[in-house]
Amino acid sequence: MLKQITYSIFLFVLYCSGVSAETYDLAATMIFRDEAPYLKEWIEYHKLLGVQHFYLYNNLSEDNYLEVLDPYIRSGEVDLVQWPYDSKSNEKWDIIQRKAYDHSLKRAKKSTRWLAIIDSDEFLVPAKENNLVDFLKSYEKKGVGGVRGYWVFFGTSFVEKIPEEQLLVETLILNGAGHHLSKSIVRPRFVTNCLVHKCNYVKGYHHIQLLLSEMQINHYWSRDEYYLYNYKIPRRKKWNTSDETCILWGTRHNSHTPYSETILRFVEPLRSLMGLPNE
Amino acid sequence: MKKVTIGKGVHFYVFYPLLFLLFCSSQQICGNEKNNYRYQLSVCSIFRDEARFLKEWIEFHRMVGVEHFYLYNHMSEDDYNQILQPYIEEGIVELFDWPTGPDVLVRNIQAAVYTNCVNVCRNETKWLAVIDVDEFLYAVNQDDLVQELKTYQEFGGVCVNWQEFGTSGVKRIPDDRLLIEMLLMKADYDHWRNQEYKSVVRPDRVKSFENAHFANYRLPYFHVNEQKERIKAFWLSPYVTVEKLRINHYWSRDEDFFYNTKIARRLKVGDGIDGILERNEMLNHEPDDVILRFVPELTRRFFSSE
Repeated sequence: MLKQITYSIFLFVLYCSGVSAETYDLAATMIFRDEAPYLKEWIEYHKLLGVQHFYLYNNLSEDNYLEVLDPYIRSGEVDLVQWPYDSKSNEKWDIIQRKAYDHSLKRAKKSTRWLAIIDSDEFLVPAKENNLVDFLKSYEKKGVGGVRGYWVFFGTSFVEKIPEEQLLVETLILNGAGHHLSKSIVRPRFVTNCLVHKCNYVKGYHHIQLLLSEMQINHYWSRDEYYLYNYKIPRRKKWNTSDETCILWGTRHNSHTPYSETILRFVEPLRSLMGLPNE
Repeated sequence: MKKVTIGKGVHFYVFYPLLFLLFCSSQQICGNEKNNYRYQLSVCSIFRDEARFLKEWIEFHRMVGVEHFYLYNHMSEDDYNQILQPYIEEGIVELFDWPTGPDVLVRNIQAAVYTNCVNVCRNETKWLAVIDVDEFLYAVNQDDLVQELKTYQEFGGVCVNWQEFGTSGVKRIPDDRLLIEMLLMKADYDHWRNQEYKSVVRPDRVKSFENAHFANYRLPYFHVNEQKERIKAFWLSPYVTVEKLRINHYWSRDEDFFYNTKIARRLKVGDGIDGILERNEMLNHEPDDVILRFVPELTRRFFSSE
């Protein structure tokens, strides 16, 4: 009896000390369609912030995404999965997204301590920390299944097309301040399943909502005007979102707010990583 | 079946920890005994073109004990961002944009915004005061609003009557004076308009917000007035009582604001011009200086932080 008790205590202590065999501290999962021009900046930005691995799901892209992703696939940083399911409505698209997240969660459970579940037009921006892994350390405690960050919704900033030698994140500055929707960075071990904006956790675990003053998620929903009119609006038309609404969303969130500049401190290092000159 | 005897050793290592665990989990089940809220008291508000008045309003409520503000901007075209920037950087204010679609009637928006806010802050703040930027909430008999709210913590929320103030003969509040020291005329204490109230709620006991005045609570919780009497979920309370908790509602602010902003706004919401002018007349009925005790401290906070 004593032996059994001692053994269980030993296992318990081991469990509490967090001994594990995870390969990554922080990974990200994302599903995309026809985003080739924007993929590299998104990947390099999140690498700069400490993301070590990417689970990317291609949804029927017809552009040269493979060419862009090839170096990352070969280096092992990107795991590419084909996810060729189409949807005629926003609701159906949600289901396709959710299934992709379930797929990535299964693999993430054994391989990574944190998993960011975001889109290719979303950028995680901690307010003061420069590294997400360090930032997330203080949330690695019992009961915390994940964290959620609010969007800061960016419009087109009235930019026709982002110039070739410029980053998206340094060009699109105007936004509509905080949005009530969030995205999550989760500890896969404690997640049961994920919806797009929130996740469900195992018993006894919950999310922590991060304040905008701790972390914001820059959501460049419309990107530039070129993207809005040539890609976004046709895509939403399929889902019965009117042109007027899309244009409204792209043009209304175009103010200078205290949330405009938070990401700009990463521009210089990011430009170097992208092979662009810095003054 | 083998007979199992429980020895003293096992008793110590199994029984007492088990008892302790049972105790902890029962706290969770009974709920609401947790005191690990990030904030004791926060405010939720939706605003439009209020840049001139925002800072005094924020500083006043910080003075009475509000720790955090959830502010929702509704299509403002003024320079609210600059005013709010220092507070956002300090983490005192969180600014959201609402709505993200076409313009809707003000009355419909408020319920949606407050419900959203409650969902957002449910686990973060013990109390949430749902007031407007022209409403100043405070305790009558002490300075610390949080202390006063302690006496209501068994309820789902407390309904606070307001006293509505008019333009008080002030053309425009000077830049070096406070609103609360200039606007001193209000409606008759018992006026039916003063039977309107706003709610200070426990967000984790709220299901949703019905309108700007009151919430729908989770069973078995309900709201009470400041006298701890349970009142009906209706936008008017049965009678006016502002002995413990009070809101000064500066409905028309100064004449500049009233004639250039307020009237147009109310016309859009469907009020008639005669009714609007009449309301302001009736609001300049009798003097009220209860809030003046805060003026010295607020002056210090407001003007020194410029």
